Amino acid sequence: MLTININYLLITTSLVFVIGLAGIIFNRKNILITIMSIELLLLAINLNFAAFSIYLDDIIGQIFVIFVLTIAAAESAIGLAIITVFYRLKNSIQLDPIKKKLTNKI
Amino acid sequence: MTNLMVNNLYNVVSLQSFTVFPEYFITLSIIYILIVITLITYNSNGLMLQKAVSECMALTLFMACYLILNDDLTSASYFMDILSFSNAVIYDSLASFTRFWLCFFSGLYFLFVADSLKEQKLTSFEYLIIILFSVLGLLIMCSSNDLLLTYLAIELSSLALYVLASFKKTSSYSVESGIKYFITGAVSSAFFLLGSSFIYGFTGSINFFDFYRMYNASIYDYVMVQWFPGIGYLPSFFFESWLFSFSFRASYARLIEVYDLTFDDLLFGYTIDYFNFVEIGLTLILFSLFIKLAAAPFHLWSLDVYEGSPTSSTIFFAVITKLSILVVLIRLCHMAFFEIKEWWDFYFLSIGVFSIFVGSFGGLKQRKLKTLLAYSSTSHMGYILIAMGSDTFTGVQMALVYMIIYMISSLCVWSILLFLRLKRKNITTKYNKELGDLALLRKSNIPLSLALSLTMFSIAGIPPLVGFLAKLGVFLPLIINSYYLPALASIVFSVVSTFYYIRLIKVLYFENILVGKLYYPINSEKTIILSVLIFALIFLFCNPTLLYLACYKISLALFVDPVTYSSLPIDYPFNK
Repeated sequence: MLTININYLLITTSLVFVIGLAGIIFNRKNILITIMSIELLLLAINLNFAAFSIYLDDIIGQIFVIFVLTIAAAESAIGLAIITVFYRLKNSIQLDPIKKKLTNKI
Repeated sequence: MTNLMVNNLYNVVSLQSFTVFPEYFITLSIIYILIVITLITYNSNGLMLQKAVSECMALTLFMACYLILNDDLTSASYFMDILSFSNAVIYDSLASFTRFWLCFFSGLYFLFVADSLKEQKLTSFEYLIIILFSVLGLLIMCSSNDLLLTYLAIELSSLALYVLASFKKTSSYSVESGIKYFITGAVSSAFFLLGSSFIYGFTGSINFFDFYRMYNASIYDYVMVQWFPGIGYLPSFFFESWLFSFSFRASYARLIEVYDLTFDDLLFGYTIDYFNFVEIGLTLILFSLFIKLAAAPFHLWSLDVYEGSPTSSTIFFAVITKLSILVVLIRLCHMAFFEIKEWWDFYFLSIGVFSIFVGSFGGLKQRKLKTLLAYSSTSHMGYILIAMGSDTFTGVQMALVYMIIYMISSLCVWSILLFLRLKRKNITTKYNKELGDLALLRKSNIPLSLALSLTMFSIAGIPPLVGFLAKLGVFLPLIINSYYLPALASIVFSVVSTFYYIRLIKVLYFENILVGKLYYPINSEKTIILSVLIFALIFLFCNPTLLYLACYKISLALFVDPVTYSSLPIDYPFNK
């Protein structure tokens, strides 16, 4: 039976999490990419939970995964709704207008 | 016949449903209100129902208060914890107390907010229903005993809050603050999940009591530990004799000995301390909760979000939401992970002192009222965090007392801010107020300015008002537990923060200007509620025992062993 050491899975999930975090931190332009990065964070966590669940031979992790998937869908729906409202106001989904106004304020 | 009915009733309503009875009630009333109002407004466009709907919701919440007060389980919960839904929901005195105050303050909030919605052009009734959903999430958060339920409750409340922040679709400030709130909230809940996945992976459980048992290593718990690595179930009920009813202190060395058998080849074969990962997970969860509380290194979102979103939403963010997160912090740190208090009390103390620092120095140059109050709430969260970081049960008591007093006084300030409607012919788009806008309030509305200045004195901590006792109570457990440096630093910073509270009073009373902004008078209903709140600020100074005793009982009940119902071995000095 093929078994994978849990360390490789943990390294993979932490890499995906770091990529998602870097996507949020370094992306200063597009809100859509931010939402995609948030999805990436949640997916990394799901994989983490699934790996631990298999490793511990325990069902709770998989239940957690299903709940997190549902919540992630709801969260991205609300994010997209906010983006739609933003697009109606500014005619773009670039984050630059926010930054420009902030610098003007200070 | 009656027997049959009782049997049927038993099938429909099981006993565990009674632990979440107020939540059921609020959920059903949300659905009912949603259906009824949708039917009413279906054919008539532009029908404004905000006042009726918000009063209906205030009624719902006050009835939920009544339900919580008249619950027979509430009196039982002072000496035992009632667990239900496979240990996911806990019904103890902390839960019933905080749920009562949450329902009470959000009911008052609905009464306050009713008239101002038309002023702010938030005309759709969904706004109020979304707030009620958020209240539901906060209520569930208060009684959750499980990482999963805590996460779901946090998400239920914060998904509603993102919508509330960006509800005013015509204002770009509101939408931007919604985006900012959304991104920070999503990242913080991702951190919460990462932390809980680490904790789950390295303990095998998501229940708070299991964490508690794992760390509080008596011989009974030693059995629980042996169950975990997969050796097999050992029947734990054999070991629940009188011999094990007093729990032994956690000995880290012994536990690590057990765990090294299974975990020593983790991470490339290096033998690592298994506890580190649980502690890292706890740290991630704590940081995500600090982001939600807007404590200092993580407070930057709160300034923009509080300033940008509509004032009626900002009140909800600043006043109501913080209580439940405090409850989650208490459950995590003072119940589940109390045995590793050396690990987390550093974060509480350092972040608490830093938030007091930022809150007091950041507000000095601030002229916008809402941002000023955001800084003020950051510093208040700092006081609560240092009270909890003293890891005594007096600290929990004082944190709860401080939270209730914070909610009363900040509800006063924010509602006064909401009540001030500019007298002006041409309606401008400017809603946010600056410090100088209050200069003529003394002339146009004498009692309102008196109320504002009394509340400011209370927040600043001037003796004949209750804010003084709250701050005194925070410093007391710190000094009992000989954390002199954080106590000294926070006292010094609180003196600095007094400056901008007193400056507001100076603007109110000692500005000699003749040209300024005038405001409409406020109606009698709001006046009555506001004067009751102000009276509470003075009355609680004269008789603080009321609040102190309730919180004392709660924090005593927290430190009772949930397995054996004996009190924990408390080796720190208290009540000398």
